[in-house]
Amino acid sequence: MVDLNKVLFFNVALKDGHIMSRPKFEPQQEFVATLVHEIETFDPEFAWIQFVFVLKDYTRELTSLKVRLYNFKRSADTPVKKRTKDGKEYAVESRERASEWYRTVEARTKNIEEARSSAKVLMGIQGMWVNRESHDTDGVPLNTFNKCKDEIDSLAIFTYNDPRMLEELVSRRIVTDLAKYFVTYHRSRAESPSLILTPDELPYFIHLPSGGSVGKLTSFVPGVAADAPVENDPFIPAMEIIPGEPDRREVGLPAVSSLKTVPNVAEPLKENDVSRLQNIASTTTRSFEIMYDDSRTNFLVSSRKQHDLQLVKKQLLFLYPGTEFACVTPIPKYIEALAKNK
Amino acid sequence: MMISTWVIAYTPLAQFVVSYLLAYRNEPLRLLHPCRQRTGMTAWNETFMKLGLVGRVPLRQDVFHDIQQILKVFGIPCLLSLLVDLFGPQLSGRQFPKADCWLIEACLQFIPAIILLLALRKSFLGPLPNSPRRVHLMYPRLGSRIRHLGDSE
Repeated sequence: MVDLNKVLFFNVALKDGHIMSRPKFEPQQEFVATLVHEIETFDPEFAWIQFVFVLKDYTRELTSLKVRLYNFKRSADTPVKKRTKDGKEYAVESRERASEWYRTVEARTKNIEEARSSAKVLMGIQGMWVNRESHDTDGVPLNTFNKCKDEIDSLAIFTYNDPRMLEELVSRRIVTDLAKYFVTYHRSRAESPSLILTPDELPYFIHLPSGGSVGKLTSFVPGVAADAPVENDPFIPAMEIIPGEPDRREVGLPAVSSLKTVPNVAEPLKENDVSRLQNIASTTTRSFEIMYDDSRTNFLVSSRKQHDLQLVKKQLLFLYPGTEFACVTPIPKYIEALAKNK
Repeated sequence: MMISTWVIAYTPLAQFVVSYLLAYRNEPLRLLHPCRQRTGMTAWNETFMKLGLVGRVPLRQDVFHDIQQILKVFGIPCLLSLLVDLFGPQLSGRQFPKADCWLIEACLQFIPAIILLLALRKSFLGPLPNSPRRVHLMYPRLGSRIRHLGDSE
C-alpha cells in the first residue's frame, strides 16, 4: 500500500520565469530516450509524464511585452539629469543600465521577435511520480528537464503534494490563460505554468525513441507488442458507478490510446519528417505521454476528441510505420488501484 | 483611551496589516488569491470522488482538520498577544512615562503579528512574491501551477 502523502505531482516550467524563452534539448530527438533511460535508472513505482499541447495565438501579448521591454531599454538609455549644489545641470548614466535586467533585455526582445513571426504552440509538461518505499530519493529526481535550455532560461521541475493535480492529469488539462504572466512580467514575476513554443521546437519533445539511443533502454522492446490492456471503449473506464451521483466517467475525459508496439526505428527522423512532426499540434488539445508502471514504459497519445485522436494516430503512423495502437482508459490502472487500496 | 489606540496597543491587527503590506508589497492582493496546497486524506478522497473512483466519503474529518488548522495558525499569536496585554504595561511602565506605554505595547504587538504572518504564509498565503526585474528567481519554490488547480481549461 502506498502512502498517499508520498505521491508527488509536478509540472515543468521555466526556472526563471522568462515567458519568451523556448528551451530545447540537444540533440534533437534524443530527449525522450534520455528521459526514459533516466526513469529506468531511478526505477520508481509509478511515473507519468504528460506533454499536453495546443495551437494558440499569443502574438498580441508577445508584441505588448516587446513594447514594454523596448520602453524600459529606452528609458534606461536616457541619461538622468541632476543638478549640482550651485544649480548647474549635468547628466549621469541611468542606474538601470548597470543592471542584469538591462544587459539581458536585448536577448529577450530577440526571442520574442523570433517567436512572433511563427505559429505558437502552448505546451504544458506535468506528471506524477511515486518512489518505491525502499528508495531514499526525495522529490522528482529527473535531470533531463534541467538540460533543456536556451540563452535566457532553462526548464525546472516544480513539485506538489496537492492531489487536485491528479484531476488535471486525468483530464489532460493545462493552463491556457497566461494573460496574468504577461502583465506581471515587469512586476513580481512568477513562472508561467505552460510554455509558449513554436512548431519548430515540438520535435525536440514529441518523438519516439529512435536510433542508437534505444539500445540502452530496458523498459520496452521496440518492434515487440507490449501487453497493454485493451479496452473497447476509451471513454468508459472500468469504475464503479456511485448510486445517486452523476456518472463522471463520461464527463470531459479525453480519448486516449497507448502505443502497443513502438517501432524499431534505426535512425532519427530526417528533415522532411521532422517538419511533419512540427505539424502535430492542432487547435484541439492533444497530448503525448510517457507512463512507467511495473518497470515497463508505455507511450500514450490523447486528444479531446475521438476523431482528432485518429488524426494523431495517422500522423504518427506515417512518421513511425509499424506503430500499433490500443485504446486505453484515461485513468491509469495504477490510479484505480491507488484509490482501492488507500 | 480611544478605540483606535486600544486596537493598536492591545491587538496585533494593525501590526499584522503593516507586516503583510510590507512582506507582500509586490503582490498585495495575495490574501484574496492565496497560493496554497491542499493535502491530506480529505483532499485525496475528494479527488478520487471527483474521478468517480470511490463513493461518497463522510466530511466529518474535514471539520476536525479545519479546526486543527485554525488553532495551529491563530493559537500561538493569540496567546502571545494576550501575554503582551498582561505583562506589557508592567514591563514598559518601569522604564517609560505612562503616557508612552501604549506605544511600547503597540510595538510589542508586532511579535504576535509577525508570527501570525509566518503561520499564514506557510499554510495559506504561500511564498513571498519575487521582487520586480530580478533576472534569476529563487529555486526551488512552489510552482504557480498550484494557483490554477480547478480553474484551468
